[in-house]
Amino acid sequence: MKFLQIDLLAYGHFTNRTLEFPSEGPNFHIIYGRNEAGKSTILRAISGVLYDIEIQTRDDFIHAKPDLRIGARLQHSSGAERAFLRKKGRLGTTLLDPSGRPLDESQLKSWLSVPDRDLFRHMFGLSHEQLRAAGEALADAEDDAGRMLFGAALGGTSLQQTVERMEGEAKATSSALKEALKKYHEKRKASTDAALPIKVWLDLNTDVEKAEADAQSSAERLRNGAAEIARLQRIQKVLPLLARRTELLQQRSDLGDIRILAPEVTTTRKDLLRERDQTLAPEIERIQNRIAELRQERDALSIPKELLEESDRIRRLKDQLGQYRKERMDLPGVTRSIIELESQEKEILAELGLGSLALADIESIRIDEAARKRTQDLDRKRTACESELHQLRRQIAAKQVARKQCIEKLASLPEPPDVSSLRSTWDQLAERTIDDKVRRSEAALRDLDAQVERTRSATAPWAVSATQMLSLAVPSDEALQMFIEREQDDQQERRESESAAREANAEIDRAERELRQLARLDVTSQEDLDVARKHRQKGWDHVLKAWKKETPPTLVVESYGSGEPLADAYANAVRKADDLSDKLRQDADRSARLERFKDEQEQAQERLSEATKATAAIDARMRDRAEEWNKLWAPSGLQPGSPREMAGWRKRFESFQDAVRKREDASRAHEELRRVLVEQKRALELALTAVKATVSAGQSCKELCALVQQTIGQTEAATGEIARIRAEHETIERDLKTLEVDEETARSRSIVLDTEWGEAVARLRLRPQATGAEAAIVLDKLTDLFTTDEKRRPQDARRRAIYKQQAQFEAGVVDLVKRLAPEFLPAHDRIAQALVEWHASGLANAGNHRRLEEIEKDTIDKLAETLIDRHEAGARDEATQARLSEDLRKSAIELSQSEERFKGVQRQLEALLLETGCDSVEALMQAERRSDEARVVDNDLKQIHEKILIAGDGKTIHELEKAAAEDDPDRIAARVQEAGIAHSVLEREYQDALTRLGELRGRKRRQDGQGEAARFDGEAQEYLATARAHAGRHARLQVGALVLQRAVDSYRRKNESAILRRAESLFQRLTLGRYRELRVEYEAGKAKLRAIRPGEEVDVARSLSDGTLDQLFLSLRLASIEQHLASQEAMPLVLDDIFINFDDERTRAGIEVLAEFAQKTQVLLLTHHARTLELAKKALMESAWMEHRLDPAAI
Amino acid sequence: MSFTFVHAADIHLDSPLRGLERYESAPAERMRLATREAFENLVQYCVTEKVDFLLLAGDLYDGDWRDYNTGHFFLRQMALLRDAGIPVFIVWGNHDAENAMTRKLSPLDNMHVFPSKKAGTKRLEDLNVSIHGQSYGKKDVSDDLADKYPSPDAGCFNIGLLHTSADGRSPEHARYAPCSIEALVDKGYGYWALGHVHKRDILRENPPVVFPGNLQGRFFRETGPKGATVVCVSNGRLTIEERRFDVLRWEICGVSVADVSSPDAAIDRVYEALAGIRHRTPEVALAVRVQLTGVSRAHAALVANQERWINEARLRGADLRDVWVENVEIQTRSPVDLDALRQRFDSPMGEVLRTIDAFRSDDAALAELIAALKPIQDRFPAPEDFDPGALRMDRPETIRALLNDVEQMLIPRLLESGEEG
Repeated sequence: MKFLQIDLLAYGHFTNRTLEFPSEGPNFHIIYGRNEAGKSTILRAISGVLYDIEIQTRDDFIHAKPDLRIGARLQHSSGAERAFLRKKGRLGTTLLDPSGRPLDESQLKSWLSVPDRDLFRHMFGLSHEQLRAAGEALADAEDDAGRMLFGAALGGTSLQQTVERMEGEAKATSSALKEALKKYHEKRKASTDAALPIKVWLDLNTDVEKAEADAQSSAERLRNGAAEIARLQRIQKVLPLLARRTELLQQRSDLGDIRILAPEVTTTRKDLLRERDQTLAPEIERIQNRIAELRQERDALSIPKELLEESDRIRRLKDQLGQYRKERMDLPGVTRSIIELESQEKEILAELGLGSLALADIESIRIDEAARKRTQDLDRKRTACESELHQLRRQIAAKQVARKQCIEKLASLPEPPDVSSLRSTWDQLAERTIDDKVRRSEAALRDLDAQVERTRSATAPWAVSATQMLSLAVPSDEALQMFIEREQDDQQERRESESAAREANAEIDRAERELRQLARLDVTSQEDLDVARKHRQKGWDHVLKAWKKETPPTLVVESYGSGEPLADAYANAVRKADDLSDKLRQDADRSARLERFKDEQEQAQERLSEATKATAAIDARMRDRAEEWNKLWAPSGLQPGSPREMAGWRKRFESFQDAVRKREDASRAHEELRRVLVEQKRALELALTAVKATVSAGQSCKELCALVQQTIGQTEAATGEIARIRAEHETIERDLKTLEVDEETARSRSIVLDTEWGEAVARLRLRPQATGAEAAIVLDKLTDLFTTDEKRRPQDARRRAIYKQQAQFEAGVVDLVKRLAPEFLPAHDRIAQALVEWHASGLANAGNHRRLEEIEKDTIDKLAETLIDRHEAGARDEATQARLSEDLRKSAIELSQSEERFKGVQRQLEALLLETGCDSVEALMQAERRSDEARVVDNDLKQIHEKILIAGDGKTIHELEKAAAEDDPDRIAARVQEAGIAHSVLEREYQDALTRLGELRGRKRRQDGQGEAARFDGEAQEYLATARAHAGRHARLQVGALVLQRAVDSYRRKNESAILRRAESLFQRLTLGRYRELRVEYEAGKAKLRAIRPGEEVDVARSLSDGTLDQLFLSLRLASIEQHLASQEAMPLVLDDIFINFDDERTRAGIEVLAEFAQKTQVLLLTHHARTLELAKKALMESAWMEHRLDPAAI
Repeated sequence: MSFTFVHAADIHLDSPLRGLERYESAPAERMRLATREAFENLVQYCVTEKVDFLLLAGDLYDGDWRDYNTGHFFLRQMALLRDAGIPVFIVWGNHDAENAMTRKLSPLDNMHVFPSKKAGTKRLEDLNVSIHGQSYGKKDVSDDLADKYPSPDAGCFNIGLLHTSADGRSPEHARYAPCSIEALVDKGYGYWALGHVHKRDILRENPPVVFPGNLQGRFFRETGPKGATVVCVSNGRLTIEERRFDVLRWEICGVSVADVSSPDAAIDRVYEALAGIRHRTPEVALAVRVQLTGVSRAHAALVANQERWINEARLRGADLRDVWVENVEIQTRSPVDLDALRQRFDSPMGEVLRTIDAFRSDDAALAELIAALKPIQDRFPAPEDFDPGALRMDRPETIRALLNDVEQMLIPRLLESGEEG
């Protein structure tokens, strides 16, 4: 398989970039591009298009991942071609046909001899970095021939990396495993430690029970000790108390027989005396004094009864006095305001030319609101009507001008032709781009012709014509596959059989060599020993016979010994047999080997014979099938090649059939297109001629179509323009008529309005020609006049009201003064008299009059105020009198109560004296003192009793006296101390017992159902699980390493001969003959690779330079690929600047090697070194390679 | 007459959960006493629901467990039932029989342990119920104990309490006190309360012959809800209800990653699957074994660094409440056609695959691998009787399985491409 084309449609830097590798051209391609030109992208694109685009691709920096597209055209070694696209996506959905439809991956897979992308990159891809790393890996392989061969066949460094990584992981898992197991054991131990074994539990129970008994016993002893201490301490405490009791009893006896008064007698007596003498007596005196004072105060008051009877009137007078005073102050302001407003009104009347009109008559010139509005409306309407008339006259003039322009334009335009027939023809056209279609169809036909010829020539050497093809009877694909499978089976069997024969032959040869070698060693066989023993036996028989006949030892037996005496001969025979026996034992090993080799030789002979027979049988079967094969093909008349060849041919033949069929289909479609083209052309020419369009001979259908479109377009434009102008003319006429009617209407309305205006302004005493502004001024003046008048009228009314209210108030005051305070009348009357006199004198003077009036009003004001004050003082005195009377009544009651209480106390005191048997208060006080002394002694006795009883812990005094008498009082303190010491000892014992019991109970409690052991066991199980997981991983790595080592060895054994010989030749060329040979040598059972140069054999790892190691790897790599290609479909070899570290000579040698390699498979060498191109030009013929350049401009 | 009783078995108190690895954020601490908590749940249920009595059909303890604290814990729980007036009827099973605790623990007065020498009967006069049972006196009881159980008491509701492998239909459980189901049915009892088989199973509907399963799953094969059977008898009619008491649920979660391309996406799938289980089973903590399957592009990366992706899965699982990812089995397959590679005689990959095949089919070669792995095997303690995850690198079948893993590991590693230019 090889690439014919790679289309970088949308990938990495590239958009629609194509690299072509012509089928007929050379197979060695050098793709040149400067750094960053996208070489690496091409490397990834190649594996991407063949397998799939990497999941985490880095090539999506311009085109988004879902848009990535790579196309390719491949050619199989059979000659078949296939084109497809690759996109990024879900596994199995990324392969598309060139039109974008999904393709089954298996169609491509069958062409790829390497099943996996990564494997392809390993085997058929190599960059200079990888080459360098692989060279280093060779050095790291410690001359191990197996690892070198295996690693080179695998490609690159992955073997070395895999081995190193597995070793690292194994180390890590081993360490983790160890740690987890350690933890597991720790937790197990912790679980065991935390567990509560049954014996421990039972022992603990016993211990607890014992400790409980000990504590109980100790507590008992402690209680007894405490009781003794208590008894002794009791005695110690009561002894002094008993002595004090005796003393008190004596004191009481000394006081004699005394009447004990109740303790409250003294208190009662003191309380009664204190109540009588200190409280009640002074209180009675105080109340009596108070009554006298109140009476005196009440009697001093005088009440004006008449005045108080007029209380309501005087309160009203008080209210009116405030109003009277306020109006006196307001009146001058009101009068001033009235005079000012009257003056304004007169001024307006003068402005209106009505100066003679009295203010009382101005109602005759009032204009109502309706008349005012009507006048204003009329003014506005007149103005609007005049404006409208002016506007209409202007519009009429403009329309008349436009009408004239339309008429002139219509007269200047020609009438357009009728294109309806042409349009109908155009609309009926089936296909308007038929020219292009016919051209494309012709090109497609040419391509198909080429494809037919290509596919036909691919069927060589069994090529047939297209006509023959139809009648050719070709066997079915199933039949071919069956023959292929059988042939493969037979070939496989034959190879195995031949291989078995070869192995058998080799076995025979090896056994033969071994046998010959052993034969040279003169090995004694069992047969030799048997012969010698028989000979010895025979001699013994003769000796026996001779001995029985008593013959001399010198007897010669003719048939035994060669003339020797029998004794000597027998002795020789015995010695020979013994020697042989010894030798046979010594040669046992050799003999065994001899026997084994013989057996092996025989078995190998048998295998050889079987293999030969099998080979013959297979050959016969193959011959029979060859006949069947020829018969199968007989109907076709073709002389068939091998089934595999014919299967390939059949596929190519099918491609040929497909191509022919496609060609026929395309041809029919093409003819149909041509027919349609001719018809359309004719119809268009006729239609165009009908509208007098200029049609030239030989115009194409496309040109005719353009002409039709142009003609229709132009005609439609002219028709449209005329229609537009006509419509405009009609509109103008209509508008003009409307405007003229409107102008007439406006004019009539203007006349009516003028008449109404004349009437309206006449009411304002204006002439009919007066303007609106004049009328407005008159209306405003009238408005001002009536507004001022309306302000003046209420002021006038108020002044009159004030005069009236003042007169009423003054009359009221004078009336009251006359009745209630006539002593003040003379002052008023004097003023009144002055006024009367002043009037009578006729000396009228407004200023004096006002002053006198004010004096009178002041007098009235004062009189009113005096009356009010008098009334208020009388009311206050009346209230005081009532309060004093009430106080007097309360004091009398209080006095009576105090006197009653005084008598009660006196009675209680007398009763107390009677009760205590005393005749006076002083005698009572003496009895109280003696009673108190006896009571103190009795109390002391009582307290001492209580103390004795408390100290005696509930014992009676008698018991205590008895107990005290039993012990020596002088020893009591010492005995208490002794008992205390003993008690401390017991207490310690008891505490110890309790501590032990508590500890044991604590232990028991702690071990009572806890889950610690189970918890630790759970943890141990977790560590065990972890350890097992590590162990599993470690085992996998260990077995993996073993498997890998075994595979490496096996691979070397099977391939070293073939690969090494080829690599040796390449290595010699790449090192310019510096190294001549590669050789495997065995050291300590290990196969080591050695490089040989003239006169010297060197270690690979230690002696080869970096460059030479790279060349060695390249040699091994190419040799491995050649081996692959020998049995598999070819795959393109893709190399990226692998000669970077090579000098010119070696680069040239490398280029020559690659050009030669390209005979076997396509080689794509990417480089950014122009020098590589130059060297290729020098080293190779032009036909041996092809140059490609990655044009940066296209990126 | 109506009454309700609970039938539980195979409590295995303080038996550890097995196979769960420790890792950060695993709900380990709270789950180590799972069997205890499950038992507490059972007792709490009995007390709350005021059931009339509790039946325990054997295997209260693990046979080799020697911590007397476990017994004390059990007695404390029994005391709770005693205080609630609930009697408990117990037969010892094979595990109990070999455990010294069984003999030493003094039962409380609400506990009735059936004798081991012959079957006994306990009458509950107030409920008109007769319970028949026999404990194991030794571990290996091969006799059909049920055969000698007494005839039913006439006019009573009869219950047979028995630890048995029954007809042996569960091959995972040892064969003890075998009996036929027909014989149990023919006995004429109203209910057979069995123990020993850890998976819930109703062997017969009428009369009910029931294995309630164990109370708490302890390793990945004991999946699904675990608990006890609640039986309600009302006027001679039985209703049976399965009630879960477990605190940690074992689940196996198969996750197909056939259509994912990267290990990260595979781990996302794992998270989705775990979240799904978490959503469906919100009431209990989960121990989940994840099995990744499918032919996947992510296979190579997954097997190349298994430990990392297992940890990633666990880390994601930790985002969900109380999910313990027990293990992640990477059973995915490479899209690379290994069979095609195997046929490639010129290819080193083919050689590796054929070498693995040769190991698989050659007993001597397997023995060689077993010998090579012996030092690892020897580092582990000898497997216990019940240890489902025990390391068995001394067995050829283990090594064959290991070789399958090696095949899936080696090829992707060898295929890992180096850096491109």
